[in-house]
Amino acid sequence: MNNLDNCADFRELYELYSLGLLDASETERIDEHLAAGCEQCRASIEQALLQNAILSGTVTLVKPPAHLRQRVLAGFGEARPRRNWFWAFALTAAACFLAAIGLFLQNRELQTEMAQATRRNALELARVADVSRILQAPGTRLVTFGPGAAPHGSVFVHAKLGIVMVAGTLAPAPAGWNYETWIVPASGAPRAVEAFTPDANGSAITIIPGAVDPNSVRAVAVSLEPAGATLQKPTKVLFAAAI
Amino acid sequence: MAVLYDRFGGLLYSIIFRAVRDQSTAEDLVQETFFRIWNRIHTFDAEKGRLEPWLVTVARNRAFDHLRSVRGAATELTSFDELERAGHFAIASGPRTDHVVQRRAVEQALTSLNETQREVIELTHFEGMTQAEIADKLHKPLGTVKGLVRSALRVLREAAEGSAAQ
Ligand SMILES: [Zn+2]
Repeated sequence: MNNLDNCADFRELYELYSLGLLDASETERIDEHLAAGCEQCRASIEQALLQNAILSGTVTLVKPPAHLRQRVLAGFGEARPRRNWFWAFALTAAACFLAAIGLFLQNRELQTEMAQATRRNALELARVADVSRILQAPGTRLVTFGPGAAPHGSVFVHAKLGIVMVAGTLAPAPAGWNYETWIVPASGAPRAVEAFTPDANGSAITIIPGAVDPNSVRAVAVSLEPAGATLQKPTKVLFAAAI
Repeated sequence: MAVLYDRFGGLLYSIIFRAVRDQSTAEDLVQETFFRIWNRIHTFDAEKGRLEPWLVTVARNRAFDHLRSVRGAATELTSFDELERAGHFAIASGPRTDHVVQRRAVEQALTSLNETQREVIELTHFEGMTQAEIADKLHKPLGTVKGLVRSALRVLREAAEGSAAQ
């Protein structure tokens, strides 16, 4: 199955394969071959992806419209001019809209649900704004942990603004357990910071706002804790990212 | 994100605009690209990965995806998700080559292609057309188009590999 002829022939097709441009029959043959776990072809595909990206990079540069920057960054709570006004306005508008709809709703349960959703959204927006502020600040340091392993991710540290941890490939917590983030000081006991639930993709973002003295913090750690634990010390440490 | 936008926004916009040829569609797709990058940034390992090729790939796939849905093509796109994973853009072992050097080598090689070869590469890599669609457009037999694409890609591949080996 993994005979060299096949692999060499396939190599010629991998640029188009990774662009999704091959005929269905060719795609099918390659998918079958890859499903068997051919290491050589895995490497070939990485080369082809890179080759495609290099080729795309030869595009003639055109200047994007100036307003696009603000539009993209606004999506991350980073639009600089009148940022707070914008969110205050957006949230008020959303609340008014929901309230107006609410007048026509007979169902009380639905109203409560919508009110909760609005509050959750407001919290989410505030979080995203905090997270992106740390990520974009000059002087933010990046530490990666567990590359290749599960779980893995990145920790962003800013001396004045705080710490953001982005973790991926987290399995759902077993029933009766929660994920917890800890700060491990250079001396003394670890401090529990925040419980979290990974999203459907197994990703989670924890933000620890506030000044961090890099000399007094040794690591950020994540553990599994039984529900209702007193959080005096981590129960099952999953990983620790040294800072 | 501001840092990423300032560094790569122009390149990603150019790639998307080249494919969709419409400013407001390009803006939507650039925004979508940055959202997608944001949602997957945890899969990126700054020490091992190559950021630019990954970002370029995500942007180009958004554009092709859009073009295909406009054309009503029934192409299976699920493999994109897998192929977009940041882990695939690892730095090859050995001395790290600046991709600017590789890009220049590929640019040079593009000019060495004959006109038809260059045209088919434009259509596959910048406009996301399948070989069958190109055959239709250029009124050439499918086999001829496949031969042209294959020979052009070989020249470009050798140029990139040659510059990486230096
Ligand atoms: Zn193979």
